[in-house]
Amino acid sequence: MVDNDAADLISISFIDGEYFVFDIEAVKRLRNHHHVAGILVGTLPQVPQQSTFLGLPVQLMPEEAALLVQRGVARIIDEGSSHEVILAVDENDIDEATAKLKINELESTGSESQGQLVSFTTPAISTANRIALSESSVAAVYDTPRFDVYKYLHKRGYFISPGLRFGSQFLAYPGDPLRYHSHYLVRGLGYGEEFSLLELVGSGRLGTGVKKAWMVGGHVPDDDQHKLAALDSSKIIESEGDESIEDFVSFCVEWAGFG
Amino acid sequence: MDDLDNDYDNVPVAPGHGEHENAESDDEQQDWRMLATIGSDKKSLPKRGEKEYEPTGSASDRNNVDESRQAMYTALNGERQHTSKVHISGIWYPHLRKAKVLVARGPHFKSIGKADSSGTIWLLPEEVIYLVERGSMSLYNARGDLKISLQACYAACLGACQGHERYLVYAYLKRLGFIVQRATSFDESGEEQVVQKPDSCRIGRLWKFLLQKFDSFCTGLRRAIAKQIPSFGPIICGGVWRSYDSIYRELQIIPFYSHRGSHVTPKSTVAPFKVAYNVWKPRPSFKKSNPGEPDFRVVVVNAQKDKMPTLAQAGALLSTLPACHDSTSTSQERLREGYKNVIIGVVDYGIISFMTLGDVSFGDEHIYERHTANNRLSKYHSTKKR
Repeated sequence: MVDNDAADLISISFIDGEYFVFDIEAVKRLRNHHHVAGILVGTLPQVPQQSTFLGLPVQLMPEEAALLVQRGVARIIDEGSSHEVILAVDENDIDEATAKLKINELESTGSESQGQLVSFTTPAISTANRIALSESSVAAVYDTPRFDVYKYLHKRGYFISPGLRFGSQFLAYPGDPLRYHSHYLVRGLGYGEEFSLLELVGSGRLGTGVKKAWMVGGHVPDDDQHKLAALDSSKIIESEGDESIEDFVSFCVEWAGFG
Repeated sequence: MDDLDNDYDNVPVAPGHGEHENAESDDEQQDWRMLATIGSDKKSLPKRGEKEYEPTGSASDRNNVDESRQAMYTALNGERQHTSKVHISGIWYPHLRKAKVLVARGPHFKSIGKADSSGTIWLLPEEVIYLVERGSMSLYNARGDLKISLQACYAACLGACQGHERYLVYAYLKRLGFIVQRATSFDESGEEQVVQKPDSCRIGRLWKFLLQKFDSFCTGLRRAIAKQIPSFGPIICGGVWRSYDSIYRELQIIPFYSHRGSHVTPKSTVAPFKVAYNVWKPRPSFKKSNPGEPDFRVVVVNAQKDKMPTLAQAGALLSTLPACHDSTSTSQERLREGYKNVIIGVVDYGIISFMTLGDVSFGDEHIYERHTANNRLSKYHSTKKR
């Protein structure tokens, strides 16, 4: 990777197995240009006693992080090792008195005049050196059904969020979730993977009950793509760059409620 | 026959049923333009904005999205700050996985932090992240030469919180005003300390024991009689019944689970199905040193990695809890909340859902007893004669 490229990449913080974004500019770029919203998981400092509006950081699903890295938009930063230099402590060499003096110095620089209330501010991001991880750190999700369906929907411009609220893998929104309701409860499967009819009925009914549809889909293996194209001429594989679109089949289930 | 039909009215309502459940309202995110309305009056929560079905591509549509986003970005850009009046500062010691508090002003320490014998207050990693995130604390590294950013605070502390999902549940409950503390079973190795409510007295226990023996003797006797009944015959026979209660009781022939009388010895629990946090409703009299029985116990699981607890796991988890009802509770309360219960927080990449796991023995609740009026038999007879 070229060096001046790195400055332009969105930094995704990898901490304790999870992916976060702390930089508001990165949050904007992800949302405005890559339709990746993530989930706000922090307390909003202005109104800290509520959970309706949350603040930084934004948490990303592994699929989101993987897609952004695969697209060459983002890089994964190992925050643990990035911050090691400033946080590390030699257990035998703790000099608390000196540390306290230094802290006093740091805190007094903020005070302008004696009578005024001094305010203390914590920045969102560090200026520490960034230690980036290679693409292999996110590659574990590449060939999973979850990632396939995530990619498929993301490519079509959907915003995708975790599916816990409706018991599915993902929720897919036609536009920014700030303004639009979700359309699909999403379930990614392997192409030949069997699933129970009860899941179809249960999820289909649940989806319809909340004015959405249940979507199920899977990545078509290369061998089967031609068979599929032969069956339906509209499914001819279109090449767009190095990726083909129609290597994925999906179905939506809605409960019609006849009778 | 109206009295029999009315029986359905007395069936206890299943938990959750009848509450206002609007699936749509649980969905999705808020309109950030509404956040501006809480600036002036912090007590009222903002109303939710209207959302559309799908983008229409119109200018006003795009405008709305831009406005909402802008409102959100402005809010997210707000600074994490506090004044010297409520200043909290501390040093993070990575090897201790705790922060030492240097300045402790403001109301937070009524429910947060733990003082050691020398009077120094120490904060656990989740307490540190929570305070830094809401702008209430300045955190420094051990050398004291750097103020730790929110990002660095996550990098330093999150690994010591036993999973981000636990921190999310902690912060969620703290934001709502609950008092949250680690349970003794928080750590992988830690064992839940079972708080046994003191049994009324020894004679009470003896009496209970005798009653149980007598009860099992009666059951045995009934079974012996029942053996006389031919396989094609009536379910019960050979008795004199003077009330519906006794008939119903006799009809209870299917064995059922009961927690009554069984003294449960706490089994060892394995993560994630152990109590992570004890939770108290906010109260001014709360004392960290003597918190009393928690109002709720919370287990945290990961929606992607963990499965529903097996019966054995659920049983082990419940065996570590004290009973939550005394003798004055009503049947409805016992059916709704269970004899014991625990709250499970399920986390899916930042989204939390709570559910209650309760130990309920339905067979012990003789719901037919509750509305047996003296005149029921005679009334039934009179209708039968018609």
